[in-house]
Amino acid sequence: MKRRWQEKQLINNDDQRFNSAEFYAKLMGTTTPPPPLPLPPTTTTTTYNMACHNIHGFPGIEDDLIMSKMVPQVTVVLEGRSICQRISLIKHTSYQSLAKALRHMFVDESDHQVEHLSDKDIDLSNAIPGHVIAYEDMEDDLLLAGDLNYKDFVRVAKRIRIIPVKANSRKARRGAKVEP
Amino acid sequence: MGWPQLKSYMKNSDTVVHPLMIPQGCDDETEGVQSSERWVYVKVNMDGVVVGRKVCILDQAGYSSLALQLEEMFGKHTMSGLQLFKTESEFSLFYRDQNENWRIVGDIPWKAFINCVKRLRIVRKDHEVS
Repeated sequence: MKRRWQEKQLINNDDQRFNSAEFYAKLMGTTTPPPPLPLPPTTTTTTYNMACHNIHGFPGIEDDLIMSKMVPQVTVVLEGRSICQRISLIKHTSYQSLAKALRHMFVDESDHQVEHLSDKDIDLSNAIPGHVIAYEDMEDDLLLAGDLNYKDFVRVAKRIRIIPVKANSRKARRGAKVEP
Repeated sequence: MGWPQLKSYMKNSDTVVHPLMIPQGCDDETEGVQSSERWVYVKVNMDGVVVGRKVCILDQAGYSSLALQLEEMFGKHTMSGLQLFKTESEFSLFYRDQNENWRIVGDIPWKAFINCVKRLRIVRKDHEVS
């Protein structure tokens, strides 16, 4: 019998309350959901802070589980899809590595219409065909990923937005009016 | 920070420190490498294009070099290229200075410009009237 909090995982990966519930349940060796925590705002800083507070009462708990909760994640939005994904930018060391991960998230390689690319040929420009990979920074500006070195990018990127190429530009024909 | 400490910071850090990165005559802070670093890259937006770019001002040798860089970045969004600074161009290039004023790029010598530029915008000439 699926519990309510297990069903929630299928609907919305973004649910912070669910992640904490899973964490506690695993630690306590029980499958009963803990008392509900107040839902924090979904910012990467809050995820990080919450994880830090969670480990205080659990000495000796080792790396992987904790590190995966402590590593800040950013939301990845593919325009037009209602379900968002999350990704840890810090777990990647280069744009190429990030591009590959994004491709695996969103591109169905088994689809005949998708050109097969070997790993070494994947980069930001071709990872998701027909789309540009952009990010929102701390000032809420939308910028193309790739201009900064990867380390600086990780520091300023708040969210990743994958946008159809056609949505990016309004190529004005001579004399045509462009809306303000 | 004393000179010896600054030298070892520069050696150990993989951020490139350029003497012109230390702001002169610009209002904000004067703290040091860490805060000046973010002025190296400025954001560029273009009318009609949703996604902006970042350009490293210190990588450019001058205004022509900047124009070429922007052409590479944004030229594909136009019918006949940006052709910035040319009279026949459909576009103008503006920058926002440290006092939050928008000015035409080229109004001051390049060396002064790189210390003051905070942001760039490529504007369609027929939109300038407002």
